Amino acid sequence: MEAQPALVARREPVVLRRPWLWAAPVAVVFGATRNLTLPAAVMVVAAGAGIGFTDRWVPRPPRADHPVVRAKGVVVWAAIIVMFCLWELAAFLLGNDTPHPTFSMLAEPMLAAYPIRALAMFGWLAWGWHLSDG
Amino acid sequence: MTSRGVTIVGFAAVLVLAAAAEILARARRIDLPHFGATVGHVMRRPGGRAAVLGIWFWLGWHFLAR
Repeated sequence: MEAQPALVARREPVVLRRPWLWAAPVAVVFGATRNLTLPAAVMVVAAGAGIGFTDRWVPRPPRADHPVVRAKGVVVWAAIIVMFCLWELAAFLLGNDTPHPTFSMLAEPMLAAYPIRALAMFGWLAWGWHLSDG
Repeated sequence: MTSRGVTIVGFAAVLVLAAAAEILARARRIDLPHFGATVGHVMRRPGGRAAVLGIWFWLGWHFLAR
């Protein structure tokens, strides 16, 4: 006997309702990879593609928690980001070396350690999921 | 102070400024939306959405893969 369509509750798959179920194992495995290796590149591209696909093709109800934002707010945050980027650019143009390290250069040794690398991957996945869910 | 120290202090200053702005905005001590609200606002437009997701992907690629 077939269930009547109106009585069947439509639920999202568990991977959408509980994203940490896949994000945590991915981060645990990713923590063991190294920069500039194929496994790291493949995992980042696959995660980016997966979240991009979800954002584009999996309909989810929009969040209603975004307050009204005036242009001034966008300008202030954009100015802070631009300041950071200009400082990074200056360090890069001045040598990207020990006396003038870029932020990437400073972060590299930290992101090479297993727990920080795994946590960074989990944070990146969580942020991407949050963005695609908005 | 060495040039390395100046460079690091510059990064720290911008990060502290961003953290202070976020804390004050969330506490409603200043007339500024918090960062998440601003990003959400930008993402309401298709171009903004693509740009924010593109930046998110690039950050992951830059810091975690390459």
